[in-house]
Amino acid sequence: MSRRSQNPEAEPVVRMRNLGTYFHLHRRRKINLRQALIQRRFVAKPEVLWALRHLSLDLHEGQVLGIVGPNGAGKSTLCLVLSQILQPDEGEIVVRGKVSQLVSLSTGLNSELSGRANVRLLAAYLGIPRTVIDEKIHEIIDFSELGDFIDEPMRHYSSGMKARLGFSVATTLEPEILILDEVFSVGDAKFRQKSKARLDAMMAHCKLIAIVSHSSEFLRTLCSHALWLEKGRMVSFGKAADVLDEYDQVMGTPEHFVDPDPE
Amino acid sequence: MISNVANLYLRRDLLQELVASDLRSSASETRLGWVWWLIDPLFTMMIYWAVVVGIFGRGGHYHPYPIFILCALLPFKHFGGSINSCCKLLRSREGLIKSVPFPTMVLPLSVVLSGFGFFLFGQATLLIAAWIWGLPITVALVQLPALWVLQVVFYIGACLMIAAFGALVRDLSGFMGHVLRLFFYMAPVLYGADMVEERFTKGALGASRFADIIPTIYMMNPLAILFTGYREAIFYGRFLAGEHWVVLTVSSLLVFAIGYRVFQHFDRRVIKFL
Repeated sequence: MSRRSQNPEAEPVVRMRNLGTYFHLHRRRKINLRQALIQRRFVAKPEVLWALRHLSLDLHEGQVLGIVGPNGAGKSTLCLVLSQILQPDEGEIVVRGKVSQLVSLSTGLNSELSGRANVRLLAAYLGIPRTVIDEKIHEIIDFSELGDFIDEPMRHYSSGMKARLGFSVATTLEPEILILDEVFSVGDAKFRQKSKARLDAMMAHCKLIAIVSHSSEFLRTLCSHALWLEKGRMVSFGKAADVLDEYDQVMGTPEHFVDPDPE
Repeated sequence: MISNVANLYLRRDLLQELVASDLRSSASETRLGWVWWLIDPLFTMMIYWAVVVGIFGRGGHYHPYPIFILCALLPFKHFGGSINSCCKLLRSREGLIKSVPFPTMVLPLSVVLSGFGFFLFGQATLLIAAWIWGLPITVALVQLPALWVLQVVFYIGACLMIAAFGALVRDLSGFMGHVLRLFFYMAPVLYGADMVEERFTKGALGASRFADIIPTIYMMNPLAILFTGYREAIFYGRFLAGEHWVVLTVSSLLVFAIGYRVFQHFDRRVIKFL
């Protein structure tokens, strides 16, 4: 199949041109009512911080993109823009395909309802059609290993159980573009291994995967390409090995990705 | 995902699921379930009944007073409850908003709609109570569905505004408590709108030349018309005056349109503020 072919002539899956997103910096980020009334403005005088700026990039089908950079480099903001949660303030982004971001989904769940009801709620948030969920609910429950606990109210769940259920739902979405923002810390060791296997399987179906990590060692094993961000600007982009070598050199000794399961 | 009509229609499953889970969870939350929603207005009703009828010895021409006051307490409870939970709504769902693309407008919408589910439960109870108390069942009850629709439209507009401002202004919920209390006394909940009219046209204050204008201004308040409408339909078995219908419809649609625009305006930047 030509799915993994990287033809530069083909339409890119993600196309960014001069992308920029800013945040307002306030000494007190949120203003209070007194300020709002006296200053007659609901947004205090902004100091602007560009979390991302002048980012132009084409991502093609079949690429696995690693995003590296120090804290505050704009990695998470890029994820927000890629998943189209945040609209860029400058430039443009075109994304061809259904995007899914894997994050901890324990918020937004209704703790009074059973796990089963929450699966349906979570699926609705993620935009999974009801028919698909009805079809897959057994698979989801099996994968989460919750057993009879699935009909208990969520308030009785441990945080690991919630995370497992969230992960199981999110990964049944079969997205075309998958964004992983530091997600490899879900559940216990056994479940982590299982979820890694599932991610591997998902990666085979995805058009494009973007992985955010501090650990260049970890990205080296998974990614075909890498993007190095610093203070919202692109430092370099290219083949994973080249970019990560450069990154490690500048950043000093490479951090070692501590594999939770040494097997 | 931008909150517009097209995206909301695309994600109607989510809205349905949110409303359904809200209704289901409060039914399973406690053994009394939905009755809790009724206990609050019932309790409030009993306090005012005791104070107004028992101590002040008033409310005689609004007999039976408990039914009279419940006609307005139920829609007010829906209003206050929805506004209160919208103040902190977007901030409490921060994690979700930042990780899943969905039109955030479904959140305030689901608050109003699930509140409406409880409200309908209250209405059914009120109708049964009115019937037991011996109030006649009249054709005027056909006005109820129209009042429900306008109530939901108006509340959604107000809640969209509050939800957007609540994300930007930190201490809105403390302030809203006072605003809601003001609304409670400014709208005809404890008393009837006819009392205002009587006081300013026939009473001691009738001499003032602004006297005629005050009841008119008073009845420009959509809440005042709405509560009066419920009283006309259930308590008196009469029809609400035509001009009131016009004002209520126009103001509800206006509030809805403004709320929708305000929410859309802040929609994109709200994520940055959370």
